[in-house]
Amino acid sequence: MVLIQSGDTTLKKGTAELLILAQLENRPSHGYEIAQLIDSRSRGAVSFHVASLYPILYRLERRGLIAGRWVEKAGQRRRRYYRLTTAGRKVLAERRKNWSAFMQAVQAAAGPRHA
Amino acid sequence: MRDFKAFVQQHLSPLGLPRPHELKIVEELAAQLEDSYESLIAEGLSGEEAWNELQRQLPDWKTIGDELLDAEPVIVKLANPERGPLAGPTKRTLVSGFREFLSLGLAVDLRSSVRLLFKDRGFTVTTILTLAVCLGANAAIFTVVYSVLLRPLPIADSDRIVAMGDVYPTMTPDDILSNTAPSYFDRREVITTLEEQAMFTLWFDTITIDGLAEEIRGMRATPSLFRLLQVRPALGRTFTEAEGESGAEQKVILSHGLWRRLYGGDPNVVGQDLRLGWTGQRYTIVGVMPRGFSFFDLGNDGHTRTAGDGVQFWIPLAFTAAQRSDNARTRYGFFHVGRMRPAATIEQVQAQLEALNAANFERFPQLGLAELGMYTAVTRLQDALTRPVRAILYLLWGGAAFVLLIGALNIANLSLARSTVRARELATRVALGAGRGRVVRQLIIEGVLLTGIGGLASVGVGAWILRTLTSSGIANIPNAQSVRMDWTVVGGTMVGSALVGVLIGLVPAAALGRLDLNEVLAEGSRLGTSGRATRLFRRGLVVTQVAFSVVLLIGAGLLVVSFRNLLAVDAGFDAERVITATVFPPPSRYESQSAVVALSNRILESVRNIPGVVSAGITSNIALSGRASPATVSAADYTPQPGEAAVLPSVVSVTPGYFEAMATPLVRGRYLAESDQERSLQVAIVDERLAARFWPNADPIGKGLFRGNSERYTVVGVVRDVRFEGLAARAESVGAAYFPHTQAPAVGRLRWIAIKTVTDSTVVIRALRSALMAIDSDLPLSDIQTMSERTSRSVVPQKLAMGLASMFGVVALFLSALGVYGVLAYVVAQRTREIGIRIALGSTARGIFELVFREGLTLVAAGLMLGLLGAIAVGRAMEGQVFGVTPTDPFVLGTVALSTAIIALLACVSPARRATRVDPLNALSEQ
Repeated sequence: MVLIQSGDTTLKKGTAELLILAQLENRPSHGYEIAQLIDSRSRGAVSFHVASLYPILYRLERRGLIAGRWVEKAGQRRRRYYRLTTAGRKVLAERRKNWSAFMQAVQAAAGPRHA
Repeated sequence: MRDFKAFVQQHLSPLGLPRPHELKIVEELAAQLEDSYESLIAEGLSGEEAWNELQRQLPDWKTIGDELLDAEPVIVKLANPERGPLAGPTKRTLVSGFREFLSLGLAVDLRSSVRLLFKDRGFTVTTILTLAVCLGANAAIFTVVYSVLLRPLPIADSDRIVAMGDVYPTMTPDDILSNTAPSYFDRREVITTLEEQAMFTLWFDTITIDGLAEEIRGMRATPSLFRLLQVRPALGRTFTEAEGESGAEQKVILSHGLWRRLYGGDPNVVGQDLRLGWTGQRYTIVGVMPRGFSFFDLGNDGHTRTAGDGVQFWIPLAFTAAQRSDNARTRYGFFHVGRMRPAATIEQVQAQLEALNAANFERFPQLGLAELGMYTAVTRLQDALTRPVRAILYLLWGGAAFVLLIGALNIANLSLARSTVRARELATRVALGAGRGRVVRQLIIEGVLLTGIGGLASVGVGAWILRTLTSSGIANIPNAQSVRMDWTVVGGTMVGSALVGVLIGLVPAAALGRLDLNEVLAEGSRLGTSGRATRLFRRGLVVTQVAFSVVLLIGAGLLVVSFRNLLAVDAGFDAERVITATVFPPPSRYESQSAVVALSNRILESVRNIPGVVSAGITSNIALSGRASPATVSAADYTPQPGEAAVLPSVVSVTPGYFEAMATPLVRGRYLAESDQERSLQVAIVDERLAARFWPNADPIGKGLFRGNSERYTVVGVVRDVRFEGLAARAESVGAAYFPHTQAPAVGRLRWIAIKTVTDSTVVIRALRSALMAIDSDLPLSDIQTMSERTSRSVVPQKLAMGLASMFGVVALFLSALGVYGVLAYVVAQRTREIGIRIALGSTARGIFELVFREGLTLVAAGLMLGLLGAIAVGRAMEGQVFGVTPTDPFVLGTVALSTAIIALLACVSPARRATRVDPLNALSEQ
């Protein structure tokens, strides 16, 4: 089931940034790879086209949460790899906390009532 | 191989970002699309299929562009050529340039400045209020100084226009009315440094408008005046040279205002006739002056201007043969102005006049002008017009500058106090990597923001002060009609406040430069302790403040005492219930002396019949008219010392009943009586001053008096001195001689009527009007004022000066008290720990109170001493402005010292009491 798709701007605004930041938590990745990671880790439930993903990357970089760098690996095209900055790491932790609090609240409110 | 960059560039419309940003976006987006394309190929699609699939999956380009812009500040979005309202390449460049500037963090600094100022509300409000009041007062006074003294008159090259006037050392020295007709013709011949010269007199005439005779002000001027002023008429022409000849002068030029009023702006007015009531003759209108033309719009006394009625018409000044003759060489009464040649100087004009006068002294030795010490003064017209108010205006400006200085000291002190408190914050920021430059910029932004608001507020305050001044009679000073706040003043004020703002910012910035960061950060417990030098400096500022305000208060006090003295002057009359007005019998219908006498008698007869009228009389010069009426008078048994100047008392023609109406006290002899007729014994009344001059040791009654070459008049009475020029008139005047109107044809036309009443003045004024209407319906009655009104109007400049100076003094005192309070409160806050220890060691509350209070006392005492010394030094500048009090008057000095001490020490009480309430436990445990 696809929950979030390209062009679904309202939800994307709230979650896309969190998703991107989370993909960069352990290692730097390039744009297409991030899209792939989100797609595979959500088992296809959340999917972005790179062209929609890019403005978010651009925004995060402008705000100093991620930092991009062109990397040329042997036999490959030049790619821009993004890594999480300290500030980005902080924001990620915060967003995660908020998100899970939100999820719990939604579950508590929307889940079946127990006597 | 597909070119993804070209593809992106082709579809993504320009975003209005700086070029490097746009390139970066294109490059990065292209690389990611290429990744995506390659993965589709890897899944087994052909190049064509993969390309189509990629395109299908793409969201629309507009959304991508919008989202990219979303990451940018608002300003960039506005600049977008397709999306923002500010489309267009030029604007885009401009805005993106501005954005670069903003991206240096200016917006951030500005925002944090606003936040800091809001947090520190006490400081912010105090500074803004101080600036508003101090700068506002300065803007208002500067506006007056500039409009009255500095702004050129509305005449082309007005600084080349000079006024001339013969000066006799015994007369008022700045009398520019003292020129004779023969001197005009002499000077036109000889004074080559003047390219044009003109003579004129102010002139009243009556015009019947809607059936009512109205007195309006006009000017009789030689035709050259308009050439001299370089003014072109709005309609018609100015006077020709021929119209300046006797017999051809029945021409009139109207002011724009009078033209509108009389003819409703009819353009065909030129050539029509206008009947002027004074001569009863018809004048042909030859021209209309442009709107706003104004020259010499002074009152009839030459000094004060009555509001709102300038010169409204001009007729040619044509000299009669008698006026041109050598007999008229001492017949004064004309204004004489000249326009200097471009390269000429006043000194050159003066030199030529002196040569001319020297020649005339030899030609006419019988006039004895050389012996009288006569000389001709040349002054720039503007200086001549503004001389009466110049000194006091500059003094007031000085006062306002003092207030500004005190205010500035206060603000400096406050920001110093604040900077020590903020030292740690600033040091932290520097330690965290903010450049010193950036921190200093932040401080300056803060300061300019603060003073910018203060500056704006001060423009409002200034406008308000100016309005108050205008409504309190400033119109009575020369050039006052042009007093207005213009952009120069507003701009100057704003620039001034911005500079103060930079200074305020630099104070803590300078402190930051000296700080050892480690020390500040390490010594947490001694947070914000300022250095010994700073402490001394701040105390110095407060002492200076107190000193300045003492000087100001003493100046104000002197003006207040002067004003009180002025009102207490015995001006030789009792203003209680006296109505005065001017009555002009036009010579066209009252040609002979006997006709005027008959008219006066009829007027007085019917006025005395009005119920409630006690007595009434008519005079040619009334008390406080603003002008003496000097003429040569000699005594039968008084031989002047060789070289002694002629005695020129005011010569006044009066009817019986005048002294009674004015309640001028009789010292000896008798008042004038109805029995003093044309053919009876010629009599005169002198005032005490003239009597003392002629007969210092003898009884003046029965002595003989001559007016010029007249027959003998016998002195029958001595009255108290009367002030004609004004309450503050110089004491050097030699007094006055009064002659009965029946016996003194050439003394001056009767002009003012004075009526003493016991009832309500409005009823009497109404009765007076109808009485005059019954006698001659064309007789204009104007300038109706009670004598009390005349008295208060004559002291308007002094009252204004006193009011302003007092206001400045009070503001200064308040600001200094604030300064003392601020420093002490700060000292207490800083020494809380020490005070806590003292209390813990057993110091009593009283002891603590005294400790702090003594500190305040020292500051106030030092300020007082300095201020008193300063006041004595400044006193010399006040000498010409004070009346009946010396600049070092002990009463004024004492009162000011005492009140300053009380107010300043009251400001010490609250911090001292706060010190006594320090809790030793809290104070000691405080970090």
